[in-house]
Amino acid sequence: MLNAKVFLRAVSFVNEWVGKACSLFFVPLVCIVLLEVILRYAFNRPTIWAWDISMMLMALTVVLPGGYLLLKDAHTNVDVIVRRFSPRTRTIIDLVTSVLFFFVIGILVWKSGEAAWDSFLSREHLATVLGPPIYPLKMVWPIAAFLLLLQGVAKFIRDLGKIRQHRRDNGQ
Amino acid sequence: MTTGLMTGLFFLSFGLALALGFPIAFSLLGVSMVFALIFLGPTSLYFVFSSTFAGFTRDVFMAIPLYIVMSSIIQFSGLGSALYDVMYKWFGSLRGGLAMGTVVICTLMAAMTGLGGTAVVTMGVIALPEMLKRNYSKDTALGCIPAGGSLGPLIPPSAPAITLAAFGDLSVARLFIGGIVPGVLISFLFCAYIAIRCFLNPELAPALPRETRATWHEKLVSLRDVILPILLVVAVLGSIYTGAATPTEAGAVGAGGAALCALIYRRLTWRNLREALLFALRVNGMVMWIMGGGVCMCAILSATGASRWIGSLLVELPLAPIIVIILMQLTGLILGMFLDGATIKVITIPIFIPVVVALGFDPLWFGICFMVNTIIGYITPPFGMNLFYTKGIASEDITMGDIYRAILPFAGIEAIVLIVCIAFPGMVLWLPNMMG
Repeated sequence: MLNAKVFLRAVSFVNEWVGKACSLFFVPLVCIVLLEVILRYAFNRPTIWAWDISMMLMALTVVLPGGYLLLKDAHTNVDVIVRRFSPRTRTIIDLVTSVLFFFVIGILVWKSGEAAWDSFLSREHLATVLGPPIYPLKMVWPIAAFLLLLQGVAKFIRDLGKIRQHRRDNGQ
Repeated sequence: MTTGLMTGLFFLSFGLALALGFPIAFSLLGVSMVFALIFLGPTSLYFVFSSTFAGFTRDVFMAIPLYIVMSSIIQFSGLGSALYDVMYKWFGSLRGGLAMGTVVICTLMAAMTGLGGTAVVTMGVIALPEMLKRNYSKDTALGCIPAGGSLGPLIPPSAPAITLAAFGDLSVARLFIGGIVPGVLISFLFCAYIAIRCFLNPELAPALPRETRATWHEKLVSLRDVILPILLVVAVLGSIYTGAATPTEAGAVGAGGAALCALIYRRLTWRNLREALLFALRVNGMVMWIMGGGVCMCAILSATGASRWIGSLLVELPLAPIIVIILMQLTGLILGMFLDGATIKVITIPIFIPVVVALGFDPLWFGICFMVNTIIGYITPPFGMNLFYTKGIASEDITMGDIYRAILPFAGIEAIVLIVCIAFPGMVLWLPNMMG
């Protein structure tokens, strides 16, 4: 029981921190695109690096905080139907549908790992003028998918706890 | 198993996952993966990942984070309250003036942001309590805010237009320009509706008492406060129009400009910025995961032949082509009651646009009508984003039922404009076609 608590707290801590850090990437993203517009329009000197770098920053701001979004319940869903159910029923539904969640994220971890490994072995580069290496970005993917998986496990444990709590309350 | 049966099963399982409250992004990915595994074999799963990866790094989607950051900076920048002060002085003496003014401000904000929620969140905090304090009836005060906010995605710049362009293979610039005529028309009709209704029944929205009205001198001085917002609109739209920035890059121009305005209004604190960035991270992550899931689903639907099957089914329907068009628009409208705009476009547009072309209609016209269509979805119960935003901001004694009642006439006006747009393609197309 103690171990579960430590695990839950650690996962929340890591994902919270990753989310906060990723939100800062928006600052260089906006600045780089703005700089590119100014350099191109006012000085007629477009850069060859702005697009590649901003694309990578964008990917980071989306992929890495996947677990953070789950932690903050920010992956939207349609609750028109389920909100009519009792909290207990909703928790049970969540537990059942988590099979699909683990299937999706499991495949993402596995396949993104495979893609990252292939990309690393061939030292893949982007096919642009600058041609920066793309394999570091692809290696971020399995890490991000794993963080999301951890957060999903944490949610699963919490949901189980809720059910157990409910049963205890009713038992007395 | 026939393609038809498989397609049916596909959408049935997708609907089931959504109905069970499973997150939209994972529903898109999950159902696609299961069907890929069954119908294309385990080797196709690698392709599933690579199409999702491609979705996250697609050029056009760069606009989405930039537009979201722009909007979240505008929310705290103080632009909203500056505009509101001017509007209060100029329109306060009219019956229903504050409600009309709110619509006008929402229209202006729509021209600097690309999302539906920005104006709702900003104006909801400033304008709603003021109108209620001035004895405006609940439905006059409540309706104009989510309705005005829904103009955000229609009047350029617009993040939803970019999604539409990406999934329908249309020109972003033309969709932007095409949104202007229906957007301005809707804004005008909203004001006309409020004016007529309040003229007939002054109880609904009394004019400000004489002693609190602004003098002409105050009115003229207050115009100073419009300068910054107008400059921001000019910077964003002007940079697109002159070609200084692409529609994507205009998001960064707007974000930079909004940050500058916030600095001038002394609102650019570290705390405000940090909160705005975290808000942007959540909204952006939500939208982009849906986009990634959508790209993945499109790839699977076309690899299994399902999109072609639906397409030929729609083309060969024994109905007049215009009826098929109307059916597709209706599908969008009905889905809009339950899903958000991004999800609807991701699912339907890649299937609909080839059908529109095969039936001999202009896909740009269809796309613009579809934009009008999805903004109706923003304000129709039970699932209208803007209604939830309004509820989140309004005081405790305002129920979801109050908001539903208040919004219906406005949704009706938007529906009329949609019908007009479908009936008169020339009205929608003359402006974008003038671009050459």
